[in-house]
Amino acid sequence: MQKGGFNFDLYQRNVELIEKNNYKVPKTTKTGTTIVGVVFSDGVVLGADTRATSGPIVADPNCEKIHRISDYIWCAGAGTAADTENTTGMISLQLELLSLSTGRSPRVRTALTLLKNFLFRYHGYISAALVLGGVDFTGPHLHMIHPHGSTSTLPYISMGSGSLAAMAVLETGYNSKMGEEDAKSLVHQAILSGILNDLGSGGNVDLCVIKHKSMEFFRNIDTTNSKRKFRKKLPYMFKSGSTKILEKQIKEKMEKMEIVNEKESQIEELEEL
Amino acid sequence: MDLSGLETEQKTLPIISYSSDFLENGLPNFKTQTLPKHPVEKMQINKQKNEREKQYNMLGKVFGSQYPLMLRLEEEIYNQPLRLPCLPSSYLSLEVFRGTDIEVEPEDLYNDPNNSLLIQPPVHQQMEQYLGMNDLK
Repeated sequence: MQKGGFNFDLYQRNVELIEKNNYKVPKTTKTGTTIVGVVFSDGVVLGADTRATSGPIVADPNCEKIHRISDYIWCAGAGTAADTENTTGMISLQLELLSLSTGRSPRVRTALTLLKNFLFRYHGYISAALVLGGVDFTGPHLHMIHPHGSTSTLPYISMGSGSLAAMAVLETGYNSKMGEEDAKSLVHQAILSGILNDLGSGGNVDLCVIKHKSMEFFRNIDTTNSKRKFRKKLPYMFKSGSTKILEKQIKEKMEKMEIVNEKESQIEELEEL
Repeated sequence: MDLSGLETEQKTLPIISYSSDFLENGLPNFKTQTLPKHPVEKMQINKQKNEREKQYNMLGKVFGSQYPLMLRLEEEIYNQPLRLPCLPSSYLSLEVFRGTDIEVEPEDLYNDPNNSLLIQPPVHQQMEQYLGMNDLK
């Protein structure tokens, strides 16, 4: 019986192409993102940039990288956009079903285990690097998940191609007794550092502050880096004579000629007669 | 960590199974069954089966060997198709037994066979093939 899910039909063809036809395997396109998470006294702050690239081209200058897993459990995703969105969507579904069947509010650790087990089954082929953060009845939690399925629990995390730039800011500014405003500004600075110093990250800054039974999503909290400074106002109006004329060619307008089929015209003539 | 999907060696000889309709399905060959499979595909095939075997082994050690035997019998009963060979059966009781009715897998979300672009051959033709009535004698 036909089964759904992922399709592996082309694997044997690919193996033959590589071995016999010396086909060059295309390189995986490196994706660019800066995502950051920080734990503070009352909860968790998640931050992300908003640029989605496809090779050297910016595919979406203002996309959403922070996905909802549950009301107070959110996840920022780096890597292939389709993988992060669909993975977080599926785990959100599973978590909802689980919380309904157990009758308990979902825990961040449950979401972590579901994501980790799911990603490990695919050996890293599902390229989703996630920063999972949330507040449940046990308190605030923050985890990082690598595409192969390994996880870490840390007080501050950065992932994506801009993670080094963001981590530099986090290491300098983090202290374990931060309040909400300090944490928000630290995450903001970290994302800005990623946007400014990494080619793959850009656009606006998104922030998500999660506390006990409260969640605030600041979409595009900082848009200074996505506004073009030097842009001429539309429409373009050029004065006549502003460009030099190099060559002039004047062609006379031809009269419209009708091409009539010889045979048809003969038949018409005979009919008239 | 979930390592149950990793054992993958093919332990049976490839079986040649073909339909007599060569024009439609091509000449019979062993090749497609012996070619290597993607490691992720192997993991998908083996994972659930291995996990169930592990559970049965554990239950046998804890409750005695009779208990997993009873469970296996129940699973076999639920695993029987109740429709013609070419029509899909829902296997709902099997899903409830295994606990997969409340689980959501990529198999449920992506590439739904009901929406597949390949046209299935008509039921009569598939039944003739199943009963071996295809050959012209």
